[in-house]
Amino acid sequence: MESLATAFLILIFLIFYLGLGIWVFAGLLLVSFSGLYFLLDMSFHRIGTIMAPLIIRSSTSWELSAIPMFVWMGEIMFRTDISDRLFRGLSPIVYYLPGRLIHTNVMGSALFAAVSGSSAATTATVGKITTTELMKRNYSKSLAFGSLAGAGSLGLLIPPSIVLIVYGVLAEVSIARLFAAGVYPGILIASLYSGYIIFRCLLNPSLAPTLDENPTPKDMLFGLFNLIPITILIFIVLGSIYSGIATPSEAAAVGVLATIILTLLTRQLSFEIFFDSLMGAVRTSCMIASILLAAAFLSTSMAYLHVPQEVAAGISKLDLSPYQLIATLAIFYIVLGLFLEGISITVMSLPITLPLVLGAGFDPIWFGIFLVIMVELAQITPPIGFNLFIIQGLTGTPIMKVAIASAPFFVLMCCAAAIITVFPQIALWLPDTLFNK
Amino acid sequence: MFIKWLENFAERLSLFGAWVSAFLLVYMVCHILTEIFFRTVLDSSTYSLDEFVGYAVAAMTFLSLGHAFQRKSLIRVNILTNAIQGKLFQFVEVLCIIFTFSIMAFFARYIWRSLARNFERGTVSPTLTETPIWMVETVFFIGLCIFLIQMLVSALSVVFKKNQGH
Repeated sequence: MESLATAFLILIFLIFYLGLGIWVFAGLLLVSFSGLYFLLDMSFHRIGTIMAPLIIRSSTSWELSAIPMFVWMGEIMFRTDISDRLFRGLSPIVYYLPGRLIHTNVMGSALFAAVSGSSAATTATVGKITTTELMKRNYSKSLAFGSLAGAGSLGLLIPPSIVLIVYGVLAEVSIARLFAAGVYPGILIASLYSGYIIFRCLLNPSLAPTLDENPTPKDMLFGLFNLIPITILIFIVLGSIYSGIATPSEAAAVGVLATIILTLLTRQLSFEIFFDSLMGAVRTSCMIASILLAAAFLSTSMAYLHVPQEVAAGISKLDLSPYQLIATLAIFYIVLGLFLEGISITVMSLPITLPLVLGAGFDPIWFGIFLVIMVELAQITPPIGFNLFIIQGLTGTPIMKVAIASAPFFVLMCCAAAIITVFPQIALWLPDTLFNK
Repeated sequence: MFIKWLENFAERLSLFGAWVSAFLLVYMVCHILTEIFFRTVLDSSTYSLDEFVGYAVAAMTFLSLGHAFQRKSLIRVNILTNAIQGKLFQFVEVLCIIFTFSIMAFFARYIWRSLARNFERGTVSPTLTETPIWMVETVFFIGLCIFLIQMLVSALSVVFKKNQGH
């Protein structure tokens, strides 16, 4: 009972600090500090001597280096014509599918996700061009914005993925395996989205109007040429990891070099773009890394307070079956996702949820993928949903309208989570095959 | 007028930290590419990749905190701050800064103690390079100081500027 009270008080601290509007990283540090000081009666000096070396150790972790580099790669691509080329490449290919150009949101995001580790970069880069083009052609706003919000979050699942790197570091599992595990669930979600778009447009063809621009087979062939740059980057980044030339962290540096060379060859890269992308990457990486450092201290504080063990013991007393446990966690993550963004959710919850899930016999690689799908859901749920903010910024549409448009894609993502729970091999087959489990 | 001067000063200081961070990011890419070249072509190593890139990631994070804060890149749950304005907004905003400043100043104090102790003892990293730890910690400490200055100036700006909030 005492342990539940401790967990409850920690939750109150969290709601107080984050609800007040304190920056997330500082909020997490304050929660940890308050927990140790008020609940364990630790002295300031003791807390300081735990906190400083722990944060320094976490901040100098080599695995973290992949984050700024993948962010930088995304920043360079965001500032060049990659999204334009994606649209020009994909539009003749999808033109004869019911739903036509709306599929460029899904396929464009899936392709871009394979070179970008971030959902925000994927949504912004793909949305920058597709939202304008689809509106110009009178496509359904609801379907266009919803599919972009949903598909943009594939940046987190399809490798390389920053959240998967964060999960790998925290859960101490192979990042290369995690990357491989994200491929088929990513394809599954993209297929569900495309299937839904086809279904809606078969029922109501006016959602995707026909225009006098029927592409010929020649247009399709030329369209494929526009996809060459992004295909090259995918092969270089993922190829360097799976050929053994580079580790996932090193692959980020290879990706940055490849992106710089490619954008130089296509005369896209100016000094201004280089510098702006670098500064953008510095700011975003600082935001992510600061939350991670604070979360490392939070995890340690939770351990001092015995919260994970006690909560795990409390839940195990409920005698939930593995599937009931996963369903409970899914609800927990969806509620967290209403108010927090992905990396915060991952780092805050993992010390408690990972032992529970492992205890119930689930594979840590599989749980990484499940968790990322939960985080993807958080990207499209108001009031705090990053993809919603980005689409609002791109189109000027009120956030609630974008959220309503995203609702069917939210349901589809929940279905994907259920499917990979029932059929975990969708996630595990590829890493098991590649790494000869 | 004085507030404007302070804002410019803090902004430039934070920008300096961010430039150093940007340089460190470029360094990280270069060091990793050199390591891959050494390993695959020369069958050798720089023998310092994990250590130096680790220091660079940490230094990048601390040195860019001020700039990220000033450019509002650090995320927060702004349901409350979006819903209020005027004096109440100023009060909540300053309260948030006070809380953040306190915990970061507390952290900076213990980094200072650690670097002073490591300087006195001449502690070096337990690696081939034997890097003096106090040097690395000094960079972290400078980053934290820039962040604290940026926060102080932001608090003053909130207090002395009118028509704030949404």
